Amino acid sequence: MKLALLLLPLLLLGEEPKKTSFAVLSGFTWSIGVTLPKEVQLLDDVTVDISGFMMREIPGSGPVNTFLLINDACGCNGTPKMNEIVFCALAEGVTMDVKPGIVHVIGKLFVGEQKEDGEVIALYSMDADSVQ
Amino acid sequence: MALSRVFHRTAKVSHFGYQTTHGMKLARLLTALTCTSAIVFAHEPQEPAQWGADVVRACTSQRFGLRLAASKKVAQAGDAAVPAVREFAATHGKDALPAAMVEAIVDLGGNGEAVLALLTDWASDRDFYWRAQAMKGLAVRSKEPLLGARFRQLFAAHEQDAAWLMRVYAQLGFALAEKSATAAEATPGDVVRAKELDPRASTKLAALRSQHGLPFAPAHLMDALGDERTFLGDPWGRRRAQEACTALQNWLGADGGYRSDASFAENRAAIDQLLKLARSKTNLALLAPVQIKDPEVTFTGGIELLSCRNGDLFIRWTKDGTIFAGLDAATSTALSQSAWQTLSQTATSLRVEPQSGVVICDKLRLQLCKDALHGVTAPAALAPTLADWLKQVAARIEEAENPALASALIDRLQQFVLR
Repeated sequence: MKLALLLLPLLLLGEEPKKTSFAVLSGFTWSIGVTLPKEVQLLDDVTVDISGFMMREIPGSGPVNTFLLINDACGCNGTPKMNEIVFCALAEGVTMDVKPGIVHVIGKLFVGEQKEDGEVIALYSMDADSVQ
Repeated sequence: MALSRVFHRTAKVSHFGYQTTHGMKLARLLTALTCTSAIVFAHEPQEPAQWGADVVRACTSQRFGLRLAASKKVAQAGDAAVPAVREFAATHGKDALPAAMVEAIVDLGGNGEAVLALLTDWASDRDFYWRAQAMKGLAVRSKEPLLGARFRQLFAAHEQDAAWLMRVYAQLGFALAEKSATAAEATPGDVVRAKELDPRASTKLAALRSQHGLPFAPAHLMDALGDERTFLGDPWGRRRAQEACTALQNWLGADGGYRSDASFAENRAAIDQLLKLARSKTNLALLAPVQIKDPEVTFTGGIELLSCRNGDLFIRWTKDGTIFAGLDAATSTALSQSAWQTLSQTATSLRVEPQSGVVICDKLRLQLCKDALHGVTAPAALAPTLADWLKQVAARIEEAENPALASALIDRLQQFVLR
């Protein structure tokens, strides 16, 4: 039921998600203000299908409404860089458990530096409509 | 509909109320413009006591990006902020220190005595989750001869550490210390290096050695390009390939168009070009990378224990009760049919929660049977029923005459058993 609700907006839109990956999103060295590769810019405002691992933004154990999608489950390899994270948000009021293992997320991706208190807090964000 | 929910959340905090795509983009532009004037504070003089607030921000801010920014500020303070870091750890426990802050101190903390002492304490602390990151900090600082000589024994002591990332940085540190030493001090061969069996480690070490201008084995990078192995759905081979590709690109000045999200066949031309460049640069008869695939076996479940403290353990099983150990399923042990049947029946009655406990670094991932829900467990949070089942698996493995694997499983489970 929850999954159907998550998929509903996607079905209503009828937009075929574009497959992308962290190989594209993080395949360049990012620093503040750097011009993003064209193939990354072209993903702005596009519904995409991307795989990765769910990570909480802050440690916890309950269901989440927002999460980080990253490329490395362990995290032992170092803190993911800003272009190695997609900040995902589910629809308002929707929560889900953080799934172990790889997940496929479909939703609209937004590309570009987002700042708060003068700091870049996200490069990629996504309205996650489906998490499987 | 085009509004980013994440950005909306951001916008609320930032007092932007845009509700459309255009508004969102305008907001991005405005924030970018206004925030350039607000940048930062990093080099302003600050009383030592004031660093406490920044450490708290680095450790507890709700936003990942803000934690990163605060971590950077703390790190750039060098020795001045170290007392505040130590005080926070003493008050809240060392597990409350985020990897991002440790890494920031590693990268930006400088070579002050307080920073060096902090990194040494962390790298020497078996129970500190981010000890490998601290070891990296000491390793890269060992390009300076005096520091290399100072940390050399610490590196030697961890070259065979159970945790692969510790081994990698200890070996990097030792190599850099050797390189930085004078000829009289250099004693090559006085430490016996173990053969590295973890493919993640051999690739990472080769990449790091390349990055730091040390001799390295190009084959450890080239071979990784064909790695398509997975573990319970985790495409770790592709990540290894990406790391190798990045290192080769930096070394050779080209990547040939290689993409870690493409198939081996699709990457054939790119691999050929990289191989040609590498052969030309080294005059070595490097072998062409081959496709490295998962074994032709259908795994029905498994357990992955990732531990920055104790090292990783990977076990998978098949429908008929053959147990494969290792990230690359290098060894197998066949359980007796009756034993496996009993274990399988018991497993059907067990429930795996998606998450048990609060995972910071070390974790146990369990999939009891094919199509069953995965579950991730933090240390000291494994349900007794699951712990008992896994201990039974260990007992049956021992009966099948693989006591080393059985004792490794029992040993690693101790960290996760509910207390």
